[in-house]
Order: sequence, then structure tokens, then C-alpha cells
Amino acid sequence: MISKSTISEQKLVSNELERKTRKKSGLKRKHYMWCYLFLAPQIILYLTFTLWPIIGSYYFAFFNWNGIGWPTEIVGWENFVEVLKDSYFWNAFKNSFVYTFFLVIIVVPTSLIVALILNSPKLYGAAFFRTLFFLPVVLTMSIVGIIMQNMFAFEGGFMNEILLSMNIIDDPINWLGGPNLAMTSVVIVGVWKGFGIKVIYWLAGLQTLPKDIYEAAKIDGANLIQQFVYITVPLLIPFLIVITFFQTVWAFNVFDLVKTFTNGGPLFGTDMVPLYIYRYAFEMDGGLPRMGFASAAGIVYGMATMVITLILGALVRKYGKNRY
Amino acid sequence: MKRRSKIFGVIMILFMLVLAGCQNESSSTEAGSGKSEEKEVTIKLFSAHGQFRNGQYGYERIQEFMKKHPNIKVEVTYAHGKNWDDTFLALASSNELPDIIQPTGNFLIGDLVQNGWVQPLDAHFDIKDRFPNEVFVEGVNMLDGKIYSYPRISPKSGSFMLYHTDLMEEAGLDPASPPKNWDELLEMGKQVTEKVDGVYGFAIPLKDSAAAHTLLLARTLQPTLDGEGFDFQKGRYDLDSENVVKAIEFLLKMKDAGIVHPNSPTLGLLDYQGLFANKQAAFGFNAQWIVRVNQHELGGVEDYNVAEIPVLKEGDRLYQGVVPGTYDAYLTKSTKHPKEAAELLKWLTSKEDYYVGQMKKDLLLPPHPDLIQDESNYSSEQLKKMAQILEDTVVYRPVYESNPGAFEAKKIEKTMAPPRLQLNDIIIGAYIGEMKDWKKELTKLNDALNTRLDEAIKKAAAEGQDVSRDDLTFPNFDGKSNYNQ
Repeated sequence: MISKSTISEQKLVSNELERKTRKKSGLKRKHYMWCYLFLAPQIILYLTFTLWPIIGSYYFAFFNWNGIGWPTEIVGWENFVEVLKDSYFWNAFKNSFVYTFFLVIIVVPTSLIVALILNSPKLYGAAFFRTLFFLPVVLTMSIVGIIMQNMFAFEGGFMNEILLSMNIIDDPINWLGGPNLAMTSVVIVGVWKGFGIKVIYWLAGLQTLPKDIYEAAKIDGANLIQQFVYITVPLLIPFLIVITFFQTVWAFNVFDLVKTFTNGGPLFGTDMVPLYIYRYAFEMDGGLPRMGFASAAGIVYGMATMVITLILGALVRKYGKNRY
Repeated sequence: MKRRSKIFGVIMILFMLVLAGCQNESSSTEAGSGKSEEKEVTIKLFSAHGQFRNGQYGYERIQEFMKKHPNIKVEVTYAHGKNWDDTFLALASSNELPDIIQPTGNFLIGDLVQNGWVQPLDAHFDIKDRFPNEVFVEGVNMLDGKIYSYPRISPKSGSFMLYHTDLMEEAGLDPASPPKNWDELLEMGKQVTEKVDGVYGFAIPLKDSAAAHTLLLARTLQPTLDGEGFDFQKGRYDLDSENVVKAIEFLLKMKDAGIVHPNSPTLGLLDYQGLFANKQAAFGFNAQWIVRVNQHELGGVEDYNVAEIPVLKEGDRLYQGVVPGTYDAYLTKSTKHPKEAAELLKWLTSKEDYYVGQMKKDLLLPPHPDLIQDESNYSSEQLKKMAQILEDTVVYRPVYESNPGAFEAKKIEKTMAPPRLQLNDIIIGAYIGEMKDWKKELTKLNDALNTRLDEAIKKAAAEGQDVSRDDLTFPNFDGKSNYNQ
């Protein structure tokens, strides 16, 4: 039989527990409230300057709109059809793809090699070299474009002067005078600009690799190349996926470099889709801006790059799994 | 503790309310006593003209204005070309227009008025009495009889050939006899390129103005063309005319002769001006403001002179058709200080306080013929020569802008999507050798432009305007003499 005092004691305990739980949940709520308060500015900025323009562009793409006032003239799918039929859009798309392709195949492996060298404990002055490679990353892209325009100039440009003085070339190269060489120049500058950050990514990846595996491999008689092929590369696959992804997205969205370096020329030879979109959205050569059309181009390009990036990610994953 | 902080909060709010109340009271007292005029007012001016950059003539005059009107503060913002256009559109769409704007050539009076961005000036001050009558032109700076803007520079404006006299001397040429025709330009260009180390005969900013340069040459043969390739006599675009083809062929001939600076395909207008100032090319074309730019923005370029654009054969001449009026500043409709803004515009349109100094110091010709004729106003020989050439060669073209139907059609045309491949692209394509069949592309472009104009006319007619191609066709205009309206 349970005495009355035991029941009242139990009640007291349960009341106390309830009070403590309530107090705890109140504290928790207060804690969350502060979290959301501090997150609020970022959320507001994100909603205003990222999410709204994305959603807005899906809406504006169905209008013939010059960006002034609120769009009123609905044109349905007309803008999308025009984008898909426009050979200049596909030219810009091809150029974006070529630029991205070369940047990925040049930057991703070479930055890994440089990172492996910089990661070596025997390298004297590693910090200095890391800084050296990282320097271009901190420069403003548009400023780089303007400087490079002078450096790649035919007459008196730094590139030609240095190649001539080293007797590598006999006559100056007209780097920006034709579409192919202009694209080569843009790729060279793009590689130089984005190289440093990829080295840092690879270095971060290399420093997470467990040392005991290498020690075990050494005991088993594995040489440096075997260690690299059978240990380093497989362990770096997740980093490879991320770095390739970053590089692809970064290269696909190149704008400020081409805008200031070549402005898409000569004769659309280095025209990229972001520049194409910008031209229709904000410039008014021979007419008013076409924000609706530019939005449609942005959506088409956004979807295309998403598909390409997804395919790329799947391929890298598959390749990694099959091999290891 | 909580209670105490609540009481403290309430006291603070009450204290602030009392302070706010006091402030309102003092403001209203001031207004009541007529002192509100002394309150400082800030006028924002957004200019696309280099003259209003920090340290330049216009900017200095505004500092002077502020000294004379201590209650009016003027904030001047300058942006060049497309930057101005982009910023202006952003400000307009967010309803944050400044009090006064000085737009680029991309914004015409029709757009500005129709969008409700600007208001008439004659409602605020005696703008009409400040200029010769002919500078006010319907569709240019007037609309429906109301004056919205005024000219800052002489309507008689145009382009010239610039040449470095010292480089000509170095090449063994007589600087007093610059090239008069295309053959001479080619020959003298060759001589400079061969004899003067590191200097080319000619330079052309293909990136920005391949079309403008080519059309200058074409217009020496076909004076009825305008700067966009529209022929007023024919009432249609004529970009595939044999004269335009001849001009492009001459450009290619100069390139093949190796006399054009190799950086030309990537040169923008500003790079080009710098290149000429640094004496990397002996000959080049530019417009009337280059004397000012050379003197004030490029550190005082020396040893150069101006001449008429060379022609194909003797008897030809570049006649430049202009409208008798131009536009400069507009008073925005959204200004909260129209009185003070008008005061500033009065200062900027004052013949004595602004235009005389502009001609003497800033080397820009004013819209007042008496000032241009007064020799004592010239401080630059190049400007004097330029004024003489303009006097001899500038003619007044038909002002279709005065016809509401034609004006509306041209306005609609500008809002329609332009052809993807423009004249600049075709010339660059031909120049770099990437477009073999450029003549065919010229015809395609020309057809597209004429079709676009036809559609614009149809749209204007559908809107109720009485307009046809005839309103843009002026068979009596020969391009060599003023068109009699």
C-alpha cells in the first residue's frame, strides 16, 4: 500500500521536473530566438539579392520587358524560343564550354602537382611559394582584365616583349587580334587567376591524409609513385570531385575577366554566355535593354550548366568507384 | 530589476518625444519667420560629360556657384558612357533620380518625357532668352512647344583628322600640307611608318567606333548619309551602298599596307586617344571635343593640328549634317528642390559666367555664334581651325524629329531589338580576316535595319500616328547645303 506522504512526494518531484523542463524549453526557445536574430540580416540579404532575382528571372523571362517599371507585355515562350534559335547564344555557349574545358583540364591536375610539391616537408620556403601562387587570387578580376589587355597588346605588350627578348618568337603575336588567339589568351589568364586557390584546396586535402597508411606502404616496399597512385589519388577522389565542381562552376560563370579583357571580341570570338546575358540585360547598343530575353537566356544557361555539372559529378564518382 | 529598466525605458521614450516636439516647433517657427530660404539644400547633378569631372571646367564653375549661393550645395557625380546609362536606368527604376541629369546620346527627349523622368525648364526660368532662337528644336530639346533642355556646345559639331606635325616632319613630310585625299593618306602613312621608329601612320579604335570611322569616309562620297548609315535623301538605311563598301575597302587597303597600328582591333575610344597623345600614330580621326580632351585630360598634347577628313577624289568633301539644336541638362520631375536646381541651371546657361570661359579655358565651342566669331575668345590654334572647318562644312539636315509621327516611329525603332550582327562587328570581321563575305553581311544588316524601321512605322501608325516612309524621306536634301524645312 502506498502511503499518502509517498504520493505527495511523487507529486512534488513531478512538479519540479515539469518546472525544470519548462524552464529548459524556455531557455532553448530564447537561445534559438537569438540564433535567428543574428541570422536575420544574412537571410534578408539572401532573400533579396539571391533568391528573389532567381525567382524573378523565371517570371520576367515570359515578358518583353526593358527593365524599367514593372513588366506588362507577356510574350509566353517567345524569349526561350528566340534564345534557343539564336546562333550567337550557341556561339557564346560553345565559348563558355571551351573555356571551362581547358580551365578544368589544365588547372585541376597541375594545381595538384604544385600542391604535392608544396606539401613536401623538405621544400625550403614553402610558405613563400604558397603566397606567390595565391597572390593572383586576391586581385580583382576586372582589374586583372584591364591590366592583361595591356600585357597582351600586340605593340609594346609585356608578353610579346618578354617572348621576343628571350628569342622564343621572332615576330610579335597578335594575341587579341583573332578569335582563336584571343580565346587562348583568356584561358591563360583564367588559369593564372584561378590556379592559386585550387592549390590551397589540394593542400587542404593532402594535409588530411592519414600518415600511417603511407608508413605501412613503405614497410611493404611501395615506392613514391606507387604511394601516389594507390594511396594518394584514391584518398583524394572526394577532393577531386569538389575541386572539379568548383572549377567548372567558376569557369562557366566567368564574366568580369572577359568583359574587361576582350569584351567578348574580336567578332564574338571570346563571347561567353554571362557576357551575352549582360549585353541584353543592361547594354543598349542600338535599342533598349531586353531584360525578359536576358532572363530567358539566363535560365537556359543555368539549366544547361546544372546538367553538365551533374553529369560531370556522376562521371567522376563512377570513375573513382570502378577503379578503386 | 526588470521593473526598474521598464521605467527607465518609458522615461527615455518620453524624453525623446519631448525633444522631437521641440525640434518640430523650432522648424515651424523658422518657416513662419521666413528663414526657411537660408536652410541648406543639396542638389544632385549626374553628368555624362567629362567637363563635370572633379577638377574640370564645369566642376570648377559649380564650386564658384556654391560660393555665390552658400545655401545650395551641389553634389556632382560623373560617369562615362555606358556606366552612365546603366546607373541612370538603375536610379530611374528605383525612383531615386538626382535633381539634374546630363545624359549620354542614348537617351532622347522622347524617352525622358514619356517615362515621366524630366520636366520643362521654361516653367522655372527664362531659358529661351539665354540662347539664339534656332537652337531650340522640337523633338531635340523641345516637346509640344515646351523647352526641356538646351545646348552646352555649338550644334555645329563634327569630326576631323588629327595629325602630329612633328611626326610628319620626322618622316620628311610638310606639316603644312596634311593628306587631303585617301591616296595621300596612304602614302604619307607609309612614309611615317617606314621612317619614324615605333610610329604607325594611322590608328583606328575598331572596338568602339569601327562603324563611325568607316561612315566618316563613306560620307565624303555620300553626304546624305548620317552617322548611323541612314540616307535622308533615300529615306532608308544604305549601309551596303558602293560608297560604304569603298570606305571599308580603303580601310583594308591601309591595313594591308601595314600603316594601321596593330593594336587597332582592340582599341576602345579612350585607349585610342591615349595612343594618339603618346604619338604612336601620326594620323587619326576624332570629334570636336578632342581639343579639350588633349589639353585637359591627356596632360596637354602638343605638336598636332586638325584638318578635314581626306576624301577619295578632288571635289569631294565631308559635309556633316546636324540638327540646329542639341541637348544637355534636364531637370528631373522628381526633384524636391526645383527652385534651387533652376538656379544652378541659370548659372550653367549664363553666357558670361559659363560659355565665355568654356570657350577660352575649356576649348569647347559654345552655341552662341557671336562668341565663336570673336577671335579674342580663342586660346587654341587647333580650336580656331576646327571652328573654321565646322563653319564651312556643317549643314543642317532635315529635322524629322519635328514631325510627331516620324519622331514616334524612330523612337519605336530604338526600342526594337537591333540586328545581332552590327556594322562594327562586320568591319572588325572583315578587318581581322574572319569574315570573307562581309559585303553579303552588309546587305543582310541593311535589309534587317530597313525591315525594323518599316515595322516601327507600322507600329507607330497602329498607335494612331499619321506616318509613312515619306516622312523620313527628303529628296531635296543634297547633304551639302542646309535643308530648307
